Amino acid sequence: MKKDTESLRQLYQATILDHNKNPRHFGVLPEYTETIEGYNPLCGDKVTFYLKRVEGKLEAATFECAACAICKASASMLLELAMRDNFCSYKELHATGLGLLDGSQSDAGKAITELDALGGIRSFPSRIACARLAWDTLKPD
Amino acid sequence: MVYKNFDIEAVRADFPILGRELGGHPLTYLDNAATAQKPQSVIEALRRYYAHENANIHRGVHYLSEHLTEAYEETRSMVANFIGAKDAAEVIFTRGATESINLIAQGFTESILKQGDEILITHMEHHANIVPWQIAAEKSGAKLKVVPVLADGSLDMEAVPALLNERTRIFAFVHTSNTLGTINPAVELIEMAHARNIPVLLDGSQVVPHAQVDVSELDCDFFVFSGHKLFGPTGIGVLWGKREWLERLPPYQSGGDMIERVDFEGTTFKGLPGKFEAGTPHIAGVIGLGAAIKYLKGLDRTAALAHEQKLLEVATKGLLEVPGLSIFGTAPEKASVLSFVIEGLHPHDIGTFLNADGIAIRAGHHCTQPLLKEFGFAATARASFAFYNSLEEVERLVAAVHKLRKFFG
Repeated sequence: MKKDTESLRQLYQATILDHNKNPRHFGVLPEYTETIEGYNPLCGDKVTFYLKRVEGKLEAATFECAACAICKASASMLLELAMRDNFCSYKELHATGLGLLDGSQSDAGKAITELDALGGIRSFPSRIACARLAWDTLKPD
Repeated sequence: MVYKNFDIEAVRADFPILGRELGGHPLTYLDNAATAQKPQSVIEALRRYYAHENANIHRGVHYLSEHLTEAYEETRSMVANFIGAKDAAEVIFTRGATESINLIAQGFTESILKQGDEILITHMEHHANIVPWQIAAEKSGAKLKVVPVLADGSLDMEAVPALLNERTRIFAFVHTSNTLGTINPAVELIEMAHARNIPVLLDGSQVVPHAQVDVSELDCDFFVFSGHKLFGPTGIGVLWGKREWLERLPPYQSGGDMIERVDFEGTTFKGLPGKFEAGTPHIAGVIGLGAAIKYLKGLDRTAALAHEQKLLEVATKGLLEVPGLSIFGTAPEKASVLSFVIEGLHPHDIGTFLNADGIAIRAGHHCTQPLLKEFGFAATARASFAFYNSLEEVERLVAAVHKLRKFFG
């Protein structure tokens, strides 16, 4: 496969560059009730989610990370979409995200086209782990 | 620049992989500290071994076995000669520097270390020279002590004397850092340790590809390196140790080839080096390592080192012109290893971007997490140069880093 500037653009397309520069729900959530940390020992990428649970139900979350653009953007996209309905349909969203990353799903469907940017990462096998870290860390209940 | 006795084009032609393309770009291989490429003579030695010479060693009376045993033992002498060791029996073949260190650490745990003893390492060690000692400390009740590193990536020499004391049982340190490029003042450190009767293990993995080493002059007690970083095959490495020390350590593994006599009532072990080489060894690896050393002997290594230092100088100067880029490791004595970070850009994104131009660098923690943590990094990008890298390749790297800086804005 030719990995020229065009495929790099596909990897770092506008959505990902934007989420990397302006991550959504980034920082410590003041009223958090628990934290959960994901770590990739191969590269040292680290992502921390700050979660707020009310009576056991996840209601809000933020994240911080020391990670590459792909990892950071992926975590930001995850939270932006999950927070839209306060995690009500998180299970479906989570399945779609992982499906796009492992190739079992070719697009994210009309509701969440933002996630299609994740599909481009599949042509860079060594980077799939970067994109997966947030999804593997924040699993549905 | 052309050096007398060093023709870069001729040298590059000896390494077939350097001629390949990646996605329409010429391969620019700058990950030599991870593993080095192999000259045709090593590849040919391996082919010849499997096609014409294969047999087991030390146990046959037939031609192939006798011939190969001779070649295997000749390589041991060649290695001894290559590192300045006087006695070939002090050269032990292992799977690599990692196994060599494990052998020593395990031997020390069983025979030497006691509760309250100390093991001294440095903050710039590769995980291979940290974790085996951590385990040794846990098992024996000894303490692991660490020499700090200064801001420029050199060792804090002033801290060393106080850390070498009557409880210290071994000082294990890296000759040349794989992350910083720092070349430690090995002779001075060894003298300091010996003044207190403390043995020294020198991790030579990153020095042997760059410079000629003489263990007799260095006077270290153990010296380890891996074959694959020395332009030889993977899976083969060397442990050299002074006879008195190797004889004090128990066998690392047991089985065939390391015994003199086996009885159900008891077994007696071979002397050096057989005691540490249980089972059929990696014969092909040894033959390949011998070919790599032969190749290096045909090279003007002083000129090769001067060429590498030129590459380092040009790369350092060029990369420092990239906005927001800083170099990690600026010690005065450095091998051709260049770790860098760019503000706002993760090393993995740098690595992926350079890969698109056919440039192979390392991005990550380089198996030196404690060192990176101390300096507040999770990862760095690292370009490491071998004698076969050209100035054009350095220019390609610098241009590509400028381009990626623009791409990410």
